Amino acid sequence: MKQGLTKILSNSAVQDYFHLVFKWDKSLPVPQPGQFLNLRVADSTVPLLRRPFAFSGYDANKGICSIIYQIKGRGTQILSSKKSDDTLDFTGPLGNTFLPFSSNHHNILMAGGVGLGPVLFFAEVLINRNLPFEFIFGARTKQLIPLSLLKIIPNLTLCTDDGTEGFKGTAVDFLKETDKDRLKRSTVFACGPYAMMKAAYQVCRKNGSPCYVSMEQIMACGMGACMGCVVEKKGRDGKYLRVCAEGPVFEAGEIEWT
Amino acid sequence: MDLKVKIGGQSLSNPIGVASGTYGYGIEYKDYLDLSIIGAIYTKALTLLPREGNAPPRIIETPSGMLNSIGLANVGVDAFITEKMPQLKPYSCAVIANIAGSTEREYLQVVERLEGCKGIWGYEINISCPNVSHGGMAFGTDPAVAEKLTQSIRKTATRPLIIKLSPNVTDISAIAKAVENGGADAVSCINTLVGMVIDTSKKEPVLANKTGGLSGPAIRPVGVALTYMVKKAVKIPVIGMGGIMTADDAVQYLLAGASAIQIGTANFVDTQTPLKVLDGIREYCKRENIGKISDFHQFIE
Repeated sequence: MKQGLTKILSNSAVQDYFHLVFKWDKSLPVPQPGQFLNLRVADSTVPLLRRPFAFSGYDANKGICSIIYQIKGRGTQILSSKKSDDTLDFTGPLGNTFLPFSSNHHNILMAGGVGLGPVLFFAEVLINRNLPFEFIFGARTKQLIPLSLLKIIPNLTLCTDDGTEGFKGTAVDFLKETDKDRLKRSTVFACGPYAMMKAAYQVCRKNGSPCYVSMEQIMACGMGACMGCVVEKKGRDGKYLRVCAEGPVFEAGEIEWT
Repeated sequence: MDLKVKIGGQSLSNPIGVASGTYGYGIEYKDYLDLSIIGAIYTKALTLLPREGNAPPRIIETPSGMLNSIGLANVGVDAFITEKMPQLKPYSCAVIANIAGSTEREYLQVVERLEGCKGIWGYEINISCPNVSHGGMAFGTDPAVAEKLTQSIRKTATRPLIIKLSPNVTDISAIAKAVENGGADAVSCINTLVGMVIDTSKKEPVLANKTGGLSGPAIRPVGVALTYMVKKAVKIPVIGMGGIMTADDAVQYLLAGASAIQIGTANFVDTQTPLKVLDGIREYCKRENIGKISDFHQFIE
């Protein structure tokens, strides 16, 4: 964990998303899939707080990292205007990871929309270790599929709500159609909209498959100090988990889904 | 130049503090900053029993600020003593335990337990949390109640006693005078201002608790003004806070009458803020020929 400055190498629009690539010096802690950065996008008081983004890739040889984001508000609007050679002010790597995972289990990776980042990074790690997995990506429509970012994935299933590409339906609809025996032998890793992760968890619970999700919450410090970014813990007894410190990756059964 | 700060017969190495609620128990920041350069770490508010805090969402950004409604989530005083304090031992910064309670008895029980713990420099009493129904704000809005609570704690507390004041009152000076009469060694000025943000598409407040406490640079002019007013009203030192991001901001508080300052929300934005502010205050002192903290107080009537 560190606060530092690094250099942006590229910040390119990919369909509805932005792919920001930046230098990651070898002296910095090695990021793991699931971990995130907290970025200060402007040297002003509006926006004031850092914005959290999951790592979407890390190349140790080239010394580069990336994130995938979408313009959601003023912070990401400013981020999208950054150019190569601009400075990036970060804290990180923060949070826990999708690892360790069982290598004798079948892995199903699921991503919805901009939730692609951490799942893509996880896929990259599995590829590097020659571990098999399948990858399900869901989007509303064909135009929202960032194909150029997904080209490294071997077993890719595309799902669109409107059926304009691949399977017609959500990523979870596709998961439901997976062979039950195979699903029982699988571990599911998901990041996407809340409703998608909740639905994925429900399918997994029914089949007894472990399910890990990467949660999102508004954050301030990103390092476990402010207690701001909590989600409710399973049990309805008023207990909370900090997304930045206990997460962002949780075993889905730990969460009280609402 | 001597930047030492005297409070209740004890001294802090410098006027830089990190505000309660923004710095966890200090150790969360140890990989980012040498904690020993900080004058005082004010802990997350401690209560007798652990508290989970309020339902999320707990925070939302506002123009040049943020609104929070954490709800005094903390590990409880016993776990603080056994688990957190030992981890702060390597650092020379003063540890000031921030204390919250829902009854006078609870405040006293927390202080009693902390009295038995080595290494704590002093206490900051939170009588101004806006986010819980019995979080102390009732103690901070009535001068007579504030004075009585201070008196009771004073009898138990052998260490410097600081009372953290709420800006959500008609006359902050009256509360400050009351706690001075009650035996406080200093006052912290200010806690957050009550605020609300409404999501117009959902037609409901963004925070689950509906309202929260506003902090950050947006409240700085309020903090500076109230520090100035409180300094006029009392003889005990005033610790100024609210929206300090830079050394220049901190100097405003010192010129307004503060003897020390606290950095809060800025810690989320730049973990190096305490160091930058300390260096900047030193430079200012050199440039302006200021030899000690009290010299700051001679300029503004």
